[in-house]
Amino acid sequence: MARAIDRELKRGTLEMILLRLLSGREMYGYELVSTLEQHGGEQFQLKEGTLYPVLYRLEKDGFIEARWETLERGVPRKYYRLTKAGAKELELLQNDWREFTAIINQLLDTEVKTK
Amino acid sequence: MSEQNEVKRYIEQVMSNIHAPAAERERIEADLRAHFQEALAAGESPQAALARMGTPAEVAAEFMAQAPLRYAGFWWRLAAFGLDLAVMIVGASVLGLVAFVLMTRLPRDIVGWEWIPAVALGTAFTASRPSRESSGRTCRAAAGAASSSNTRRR
Repeated sequence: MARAIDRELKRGTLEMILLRLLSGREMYGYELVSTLEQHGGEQFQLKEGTLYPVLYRLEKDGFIEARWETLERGVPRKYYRLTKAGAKELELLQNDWREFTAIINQLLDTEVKTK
Repeated sequence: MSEQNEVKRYIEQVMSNIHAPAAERERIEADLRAHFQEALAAGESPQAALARMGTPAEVAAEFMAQAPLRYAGFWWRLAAFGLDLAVMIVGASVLGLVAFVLMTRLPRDIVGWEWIPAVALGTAFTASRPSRESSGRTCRAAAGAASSSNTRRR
């Protein structure tokens, strides 16, 4: 089994991933976790306790909006959706990430000269 | 323990480690409760759902780490200083008042209060001391012995 992705690395990219997931449609907390698990597999498993603080931060920054909806069975569900500012932020983050990974890949592919 | 109780207890443990304004606490509690309700409705066992969330301390730490530390402005700090000063003045005044009352109301001649240090020092100390009466007898006996020896010498 592949080594799980470093916790700090996951934490650093979680905002971007959540914005990306919400760019498709609005989702509720548990749904976000389940989708992450489906697409990210075991390597991207995160403690769910880390999810809500990140969502709070995104909401505070105006990148996402939340609304409560009570289902027929009486269970309240909180949906999150991307705002315009969030869409712009996602674009910036994605560009940064692509540039960053390109540089890292370049560095990793560079042959290191040894004496 | 029922499923609901287990989750309820977990949320209570998380909340006991969250030190935030009431509105923020309500929001966190509502989100956690809704999350667990969804997990249980999806067929997860409470144990699995709780394990995936992390320990209550970890979850609380994550929430607390998001709480921004705000620098208090000049007027807030001045108000806090004023409050501290007021508390110190009131405390010193109360202590001064108590001291004044004790000084003016307590009798200067404290005859009858000797038992207080005796009790404080312990009864063993006072019991080991010879009583006034017995020590008087000893003195008188010593004086009598001295006077009889003087008479014999003469």
